[in-house]
Parts: sequence; C-alpha cells; structure tokens
Amino acid sequence: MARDDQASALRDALAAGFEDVLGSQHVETALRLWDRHFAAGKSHALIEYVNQLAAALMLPTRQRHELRMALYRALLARGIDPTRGSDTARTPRAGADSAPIPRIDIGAGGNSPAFRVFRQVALAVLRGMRADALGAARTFAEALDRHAGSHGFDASARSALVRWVDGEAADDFLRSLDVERYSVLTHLLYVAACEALGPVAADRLMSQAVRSAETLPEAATFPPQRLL
Amino acid sequence: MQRLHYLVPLIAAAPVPALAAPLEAPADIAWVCIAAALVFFMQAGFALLEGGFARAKNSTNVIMKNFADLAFGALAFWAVGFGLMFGVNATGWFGATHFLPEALTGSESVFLLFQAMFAATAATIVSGSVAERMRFGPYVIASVFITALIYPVFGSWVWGGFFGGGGWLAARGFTDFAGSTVVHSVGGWCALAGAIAVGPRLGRFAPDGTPRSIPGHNLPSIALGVFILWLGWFGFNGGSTLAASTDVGFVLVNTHLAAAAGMAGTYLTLQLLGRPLLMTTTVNGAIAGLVAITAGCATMPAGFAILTGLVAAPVMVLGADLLERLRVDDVVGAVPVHGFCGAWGTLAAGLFYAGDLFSTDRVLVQLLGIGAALLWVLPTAGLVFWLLKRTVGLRADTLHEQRGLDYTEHYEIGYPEFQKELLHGGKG
Repeated sequence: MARDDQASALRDALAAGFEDVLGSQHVETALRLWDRHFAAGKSHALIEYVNQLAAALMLPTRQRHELRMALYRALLARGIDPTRGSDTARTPRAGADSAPIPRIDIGAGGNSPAFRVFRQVALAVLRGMRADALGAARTFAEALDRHAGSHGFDASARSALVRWVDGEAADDFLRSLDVERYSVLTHLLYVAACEALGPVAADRLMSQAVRSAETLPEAATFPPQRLL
Repeated sequence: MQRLHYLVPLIAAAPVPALAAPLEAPADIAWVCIAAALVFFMQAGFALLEGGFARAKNSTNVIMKNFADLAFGALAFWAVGFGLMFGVNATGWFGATHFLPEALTGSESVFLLFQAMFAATAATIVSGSVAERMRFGPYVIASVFITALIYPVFGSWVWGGFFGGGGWLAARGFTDFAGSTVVHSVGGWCALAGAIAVGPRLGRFAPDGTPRSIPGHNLPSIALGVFILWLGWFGFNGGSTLAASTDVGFVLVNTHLAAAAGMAGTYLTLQLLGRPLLMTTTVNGAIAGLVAITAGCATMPAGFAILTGLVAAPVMVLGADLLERLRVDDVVGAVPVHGFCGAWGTLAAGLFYAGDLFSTDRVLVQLLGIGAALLWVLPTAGLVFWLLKRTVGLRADTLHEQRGLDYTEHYEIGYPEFQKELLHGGKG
C-alpha cells in the first residue's frame, strides 16, 4: 500500500513538472510513457525516461535539460528524493524489444504548432524590419520575392507571400504549407534581412525572433530551432 | 642561396665577415631550423588573426583552412613545388628536378623545411580573404594548386636554381630578399582572385553598393595573432640569410623598425583621414610594415626601413578602401596588406637599395618583377578558382552562411554556449 502511495506521489510530481515545461497538452502522453515503461524502474530510470520523452518530442538539448530540472524540482517539492529508487525492478532498456514510443503530431498547416512557431518567428523578423531604416522593408520584400523564386515558390505563392509580408493578406497561404517549407521560408527571411539590413543585424534579428518563439507553449512541441 | 648576394651592400658598409657557404656550419643549420619553427608558428598567428576577424559561427572553419594550408601545402610543396621552385632551372622559368625528393642531404632537408613553411604562408594568406563563405573542400584544392604550382613557378623566377641554373628575374637583378613579392604579393593576388571568384558575403554590400561592416568576433585574438606574426617574422626574414651570421642583426632590426613604423603610420593615417583608431586596422598596419620590409630588409639602411613601413600604412588603408569601392569582400584585409604592401615593399627595395639609392634601372627591374607576379598569379589563380566554381562549386550556399560554416562544414561549433539560438534542429 505504501508503495502505491509513493508511486502515486511520484506520478503526481511528474505531472506537475511537465505542466511547467511542456504545457498540459503533452502531459498525458508523457505519463502514458512513464506508466508503460518506467514506473517500475530504478531511480536512474528517470534519466532514461526524460531522454526517451525528449526524443519523442524532438526537444533540443536545452529544453531537455529544463525538463529534467523541472521534474527534479517537482519531486523535491513533494519530498521525493529523485535519486532514490521506486522499486528494485530491472531498468527497462530502450531497444528493439521496447514498445514504440508514442509520436506527437507537430502537424503542418492549420493551427499546428509548426505554423504557430513559424508565424511568431516571421512576425518578429518583420517587426524588426519595419522598425529599422526607411526603405529597408521595401528592399526586404523585393529580396524575399526574388529568392523565393529560386527556392521553388511559383508566381502565385510569391505574390501571396509578399502580400502577407506587406500586411495585405491573412495567414491562409502560410497555413497551407508543410514544415519543410516553413524552414525554407525562415531561411529566405534571413537572406532578405541580410540584404536589407546587413548580416550583423539579420543575425541579431533572427536570434530575437527565435527567442520570442521559444516563449510560446507550442515551442515545447516544435522548437523554433527546427526552422533554422 | 641565390639571395645571399643581396647582402653584399650591407656587408660592404658594415664590419661583417664574408659569408661562408650557407647551411654547412652547424650554427647555420641550427639557426635556419629555429627560423623554420618561427615561420611555422606564424600559422598560429594567422589562425588567431583570421579566426578573430571572422564571425563566431565561422571561426573554426577559418582555422581549419589554416591547418589545411600547412598540411596539404607541405605535401604538395614536397611532391611538386620544391622541384619546380628550386630544382635545376635551365630555362629560367621553372625547376625541372628534385620532385618527390627523398635523398636530400641534411642541409638540403633543412632548406626544404624552411621553404615549405614559406609556401604554406603564401597559401594561408588566401584563407582570410575568402573566409566565411568559401567551402572547405574546394579551398583545399586551391591551396594545393597554390603551393604546388602558382607559388613555386614564380618563386623559381626569383629564387630558383638552388640545385643549378637560375631564374630569369634574378638574372635581371630583381631584389626580393625574403619574399615581399615572392611570398606575400603572390598570396595577396591569389587572395584577390579567390575573393572575386567567390563573391562577397551575404549582405556585405547594400544594394546601392554601400559597404556594411561585419565585425570580427574576437578582437583580443586578432591582437594576439599579430603579436605572434611579428615574432614569427624574425624567423621569416632572419632565417632567409640561411646563415647564423651577424647579418641577421641588420635584418631583424629593419624588420622590427618597419613593423613599428607600419603601426605608427596607420595611426597617423587614420588621424589624418579623421577616422576612428580601430585596433583591427592599426595592428594590420604592423603586418603591412612587416610585409613591406620583407623584400629589402637586408639591403636598406634602418632609416629607409622605417620609411618603407610608414608608407605601407596608407597603402594598406587606402587599398582597403579601393577594394570596398570595387565591392570586393576581403574579410581580413589580406589583399591590401599582402598584395599591395608586398608590391610597395618590393619597389622600396629597389628605391632604397644601399649603395645604389633611387637607381632607375633597379626600380624598373623591381616594377618588372611586381608586374610579372601580378600577371602570372592573378590569371592562374583566377582560373583555378573559376574551374572549381564551375565543377565542384566554390561557395557555401546561403543556408550554410546562415548556420555558419563551422557547423555545416565540420559539424562542430567554436562557441556552442553563445550560439545555441542558431543551432538548427538536427536536419542535415
């Protein structure tokens, strides 16, 4: 009975830790992985668990570290020693005999995390562009149009893109793209920013844009670094 | 060896014993070995200088190119370049023996080692000029061509005939003691060809042609690089005597004074032009002075060495302006420092030749040599870079420029703690 209470407290602590870092939408997925493969493991199963979860969610190193720290904090807040084993059962090994890790749909188009993260990055770049010298925004739009042509965007797509950049069109065009095109477009935003403002300002702008997108809850599912 | 006769005017003017055959006495061999090590150490100076001038995301790539110049350059020079440059030179145009040399004497081996360092120096000048956008593979191929062909052929015209014969420029009295033209202008013109072929960095020039500054990521590294280069130059110029004689003293004093004058001259030039006293430009001035004195360090009095260094400063500063107006993106200023100041120094070696000051004949021969270097190197290096561009591709694509060549070329990042925002998500 005591063991059940301890396991329950541990599970609650994990859920609270996930809430801080991943947002509520992935808590169930994360806990399912825990219940299925790690709940009966040794203390260091927690490390393996975070590694597997981070791989499933495609989290970059930094977020993986944040996730681990959040879990440790949550465990300590509940008086659970994260280094103490919950059971003496054998630690599960990741390998061919393991059940498939659940994949989380990062999606494309619509209101997918990828779209929302890309949109945040793009808007941050555009805000920086409009705040800069007179004429930079025009040069930026022209460069974007020119380079989009050499990256497989047809005339109508380029036109839609430029209208969106100029604030004359809604997000419909962008919603229709897949993740790979978001990456290409992010690169084109960088190239156009280089031409309009110079590479130093473009690097700074892109860094700010990525940092701004990292504040979105969707960044846990689709880190903005995936666009770079 | 061929160069030693240039010491004659100094020797005549000072109480210095006549030179024995070079690289025979143990002291000579020891000195040239030390000098070779100092010239080797110059590669570290170039690496720090060029790496510092590059942005953080490209610093490792630049340093890799310096290493490649040293390594591939050594192999190429040993296999082909040494024979072309110093083999028996019956025609005056190139050497034709001592390829893949395996049976050299100890003295000849020391000479080969020393000269291999010079070849690597000529090649590594290019890496700074084309930094941040030229791919590593094609750069290595170009470096091999420079050390195996472009540099040795011109070198044979001036210093050729170590094993017999002689170069056609040397026969006309061309003076270049340690290589203002042979090493530095050749490297500088190769750098110019490379910079033109690869084009400027993304956004380096605004659409209307206005140049945009792209600051280097590590200015202390640049300064340290120049200190090391200055130190290494004592081996570069001093070792070119090929003898541990008191002549080395003249050479080193001139070298040191010209470097100091180059830096002081840059300070004055920037003041006269009303520009900020940039550290990067000022320390480049010291290198400009060193490059300029390299040709005449053994053949001009100290006062003229200072003048040579002083004049190198505006040549470097205004030369950099000219390149910017022509929209040539030279990241470290290699072309003005090595190309233009090498040409100036070679001219100065003719103008200020001890015992034969301002001789028109000598100046004309110097101009002939300067022109010959330009006419040989720029087209051949241009052809090499053009062929690489048309075949394997020379330039990193814009996505790689965005991510930085450290990661895209080498899968390593020089400063991961500072670059994590720009790390991509694991895509190839």
